[in-house]
Amino acid sequence: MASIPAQFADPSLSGQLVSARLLNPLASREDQLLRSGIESLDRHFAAIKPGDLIEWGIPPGLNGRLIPLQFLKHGIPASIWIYHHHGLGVFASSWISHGIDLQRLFFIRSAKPVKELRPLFLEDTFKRIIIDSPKNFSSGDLAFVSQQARKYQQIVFLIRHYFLSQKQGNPHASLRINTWQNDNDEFSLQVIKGPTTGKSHIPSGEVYAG
Amino acid sequence: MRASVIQLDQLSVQDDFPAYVAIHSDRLSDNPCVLSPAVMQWSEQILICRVKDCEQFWMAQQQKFCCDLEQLFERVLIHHFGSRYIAVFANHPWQCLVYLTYQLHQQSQGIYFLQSPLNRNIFKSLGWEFWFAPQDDLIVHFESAAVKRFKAESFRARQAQFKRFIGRIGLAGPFALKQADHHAITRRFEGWLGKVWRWTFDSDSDLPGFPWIALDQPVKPAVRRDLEYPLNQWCYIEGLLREDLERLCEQFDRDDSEHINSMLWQITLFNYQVIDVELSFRHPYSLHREAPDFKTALYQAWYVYDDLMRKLQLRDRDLDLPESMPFVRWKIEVCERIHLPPMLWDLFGNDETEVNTRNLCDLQNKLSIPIESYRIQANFYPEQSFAAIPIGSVAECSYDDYQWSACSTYRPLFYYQQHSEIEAPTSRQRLFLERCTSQWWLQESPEQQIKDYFLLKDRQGRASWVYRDYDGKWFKQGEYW
Repeated sequence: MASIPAQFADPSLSGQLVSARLLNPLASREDQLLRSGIESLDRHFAAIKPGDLIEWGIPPGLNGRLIPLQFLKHGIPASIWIYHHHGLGVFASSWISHGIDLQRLFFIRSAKPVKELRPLFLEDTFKRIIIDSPKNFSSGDLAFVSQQARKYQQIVFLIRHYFLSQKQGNPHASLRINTWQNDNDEFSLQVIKGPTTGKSHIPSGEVYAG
Repeated sequence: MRASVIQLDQLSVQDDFPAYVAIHSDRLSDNPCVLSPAVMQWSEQILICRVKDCEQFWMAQQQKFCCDLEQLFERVLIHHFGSRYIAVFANHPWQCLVYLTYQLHQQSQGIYFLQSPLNRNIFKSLGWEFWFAPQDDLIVHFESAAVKRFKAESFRARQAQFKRFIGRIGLAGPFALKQADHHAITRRFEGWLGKVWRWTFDSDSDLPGFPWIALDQPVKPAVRRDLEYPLNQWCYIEGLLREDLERLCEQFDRDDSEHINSMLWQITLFNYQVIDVELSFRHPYSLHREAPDFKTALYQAWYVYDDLMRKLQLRDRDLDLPESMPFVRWKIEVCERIHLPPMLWDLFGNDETEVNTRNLCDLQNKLSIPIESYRIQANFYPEQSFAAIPIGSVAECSYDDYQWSACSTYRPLFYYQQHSEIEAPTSRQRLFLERCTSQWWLQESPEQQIKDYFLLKDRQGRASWVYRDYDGKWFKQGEYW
């Protein structure tokens, strides 16, 4: 007959739960929906659940998109990156070099995603939708996208081409975060809204090696 | 593990997708539109299809099934015609017909790609009889198409003159006389034989003078609607269109293999101007499977309506006409149809990728903008290190792509397709990344292919991806977004 492990000797239910977590401290991290494999980054995203919208502040030229990219590496469902950078196309081999599975990540070019790509938001073909620097994106569009994301259990990344601040909030976003690569060979994160706010740094080596 | 064998009778990666196929079968009348909706009936047992029109679709299917084009087309053709057929793929229908005549003479069966080295060599060695034989049907088509200035007697006389000429000089086949260009043949034997001569050797898929007579589909399902009152609001038009699509569905058998490439929406405006607009689908679309909602067709109609309304408002803004010109009647007609065997659209065609290809294709049909998909290519040169592929294709390489992808780690995520020249940056602004060169051994001046790549930072700390060419000029090629 199998014996009960010693850790479960505590008769109270809560005690057993604590003991179980101690037995396998990584279990909760394994269940985390968005994982990059970078510990200091993942802890900000521990509470993300299907239907959430995450707003990123990434001004152009600062290489900050490599941070949201980290969450598209590991066994992602079908995802789409909506972009419209003037005159720029996707440099696909660079995405692949960062470990992105381009069998699951697709791209589409649109400056006004809600107007031009309405059918995309009305069905659940893509479980991750990245809206990169939309040109026209009203608060009505934001409400629509977040409502559809909740309905279809999608996760939406909304990337702004400017740094976010607390002066102008976003009630639809569960997490608001600025990212950029600084001169010290690090990536900086500044969480504006989320379980823990504040600034942190990730060595570039971790991002490029991931 | 699959053996690596050089297949001389098949297409290689460098070969273009063939533009046409000539199919010989006893069962053609059952189903002519099997590989493309653009079809010409050459003779009772020979059909020519313009497969180039559906290239994207067939390439996607090929990659989906991880097979070569021959295996894919073989499955489709066997499904429709059984095993007794000959199909010759080439860039020009005339070349298909000449080679098909030879294969019929040989009593062969199966698929032949004229771009493949083996078939190309056989084609080059064909005798005159295979070149002259299809000309009998050609005369019939020239006459039925009422081609201007074509006279069958004159053509036959020139043929006889040509035969005497080749008999005298004793050449074995057309390729022995290849150095005579079509202008020379035209001067000596008139323009019609000059055209045939040109079709024999040209690798272009355009048809200068070829009597292409598109096969009319036996029944073109169509519905008409005369409106009770003029309409210009989409919400009302949409409901009526849905009813019309339902009526359209009832006009042809409920057959799941029936797919639509395009529909014509003929709109009569309030001022009785008739406007024809096309509802086209990037991937063959099954109307039956979307009943009763017809979301995809209605999205396409909405894009057309939106575009039309904007154009009409722009055109009529100075005229005393309603701001949004209403419709008074319309007609919807199915123009192009294709029969696809169930294996091409089945639900479980793409399990291993976990991405439902059919959902993707359905979504693509509803969008006015194409969805982009990419795969890596074995090339160190940045612009050639990846390629766009149709959605639903297999993006994974058959080789280990690590060495190819690893060299792109410090390249940006987005790049300019048009490079703009910039001023030479100072050495403090730039950081050397790598030196690249393309296939210099294929170029006349190999050193011109060398590019030195740098990361360039402006005063605000924004990084760009720039290169210096062999002449010392600087160009911006990407941004570190």
